[in-house]
Amino acid sequence: MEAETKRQRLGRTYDRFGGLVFRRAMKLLQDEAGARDTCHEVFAALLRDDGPLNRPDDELLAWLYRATTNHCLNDLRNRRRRTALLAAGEAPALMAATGLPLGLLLRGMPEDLQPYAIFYYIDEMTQQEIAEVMSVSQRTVCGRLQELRAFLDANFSETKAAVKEGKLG
Amino acid sequence: MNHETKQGMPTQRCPSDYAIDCHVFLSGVKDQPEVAAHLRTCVLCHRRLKIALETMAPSGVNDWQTPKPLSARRRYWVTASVLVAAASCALLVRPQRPQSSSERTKGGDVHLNVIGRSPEGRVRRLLSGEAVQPSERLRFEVVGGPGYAAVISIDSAGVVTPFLPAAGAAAPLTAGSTLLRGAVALDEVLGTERMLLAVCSHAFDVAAMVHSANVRLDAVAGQANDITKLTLPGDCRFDAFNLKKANP
Repeated sequence: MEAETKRQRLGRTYDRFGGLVFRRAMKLLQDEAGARDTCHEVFAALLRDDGPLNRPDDELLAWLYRATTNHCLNDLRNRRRRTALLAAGEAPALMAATGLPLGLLLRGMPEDLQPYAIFYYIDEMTQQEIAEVMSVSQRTVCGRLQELRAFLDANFSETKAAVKEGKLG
Repeated sequence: MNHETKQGMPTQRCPSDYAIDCHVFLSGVKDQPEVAAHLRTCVLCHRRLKIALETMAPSGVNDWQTPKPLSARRRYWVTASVLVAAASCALLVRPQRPQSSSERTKGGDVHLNVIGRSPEGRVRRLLSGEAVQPSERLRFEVVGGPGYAAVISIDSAGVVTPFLPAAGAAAPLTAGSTLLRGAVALDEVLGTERMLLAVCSHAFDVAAMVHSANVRLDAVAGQANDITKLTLPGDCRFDAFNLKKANP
């Protein structure tokens, strides 16, 4: 094949995976405008650094999952979408485990644990799938999930009491 | 796999969104037989699969680079270039035989030409939407190489058949146009037969293309005409060609 320009390759990637990124951002942000922004940011990042475009499709897909999740988390940390997330009932597994929505639990959670919380509780991925998306070993995932559970255990009662008193949310 | 949750949500056996996306976008690269088997039987996940297939990228987002304003000198040259191009087009455009847009779908810059040979021995280039008869033999010319190409067919009964190559890896294309090796004979199933051409930057397995067509066919409730592209590894371009099979 003739060499494609970076822009052509990016255009093809957008045509193919843009819907996936948008759908994922919609799931996490529950907001179409925010999902559009995320889509824009994720593909604009590829325009600045096209390294992931040169990887095999499975690695590119994992990168898009990771980048979209990170961008949504940044967005949530900026509290622009926090209200939307608090209202969302999209984390039944998390609700079942803690009785609290993710929006509350992300507050105070170490940033490096937050993607694992999303993948494990919101997406309900297996450890192997999380390892693929995060590009780490399954052993690392196992360790991070243990840290996550420890965080939830340590903070669960305090946060729940705060919700009851109306101090959060 | 997912944890058991309330009614209407994925159950413990349901794959994650990521697994479904891998199934959709990495067919032939990362096969997950257990996910494919689950999707065939779970109504809920079939709906999730359909959403995964149908969610389109938001339009307008790809205008991510704001064009810079042109200088007066550059505006002059751009305007002059547009005028020259328009004049050239006016001279070069030739009237063409009309072709219904509902019958032919062009995907990018690849093109499928079909050459038919009737049972009486008459050889002709076919137009999309044209009537043919059972047992007519077809050959395929692909414009848009280099790359790797395969042609599959979806008949009126919803059966997906690999045409060329009949199995194995997609055929390599040279630059320009390539006449694919071999021919196929149309069977007795009457009605509209839709042929899909895929030209990809990387070699792919014809079985992956058939699988993707079956998944897509399920998602569009058997409406083969709604299928204009498939999910294959690498960068792919598509073209479609319909024939109406009827007895003479």
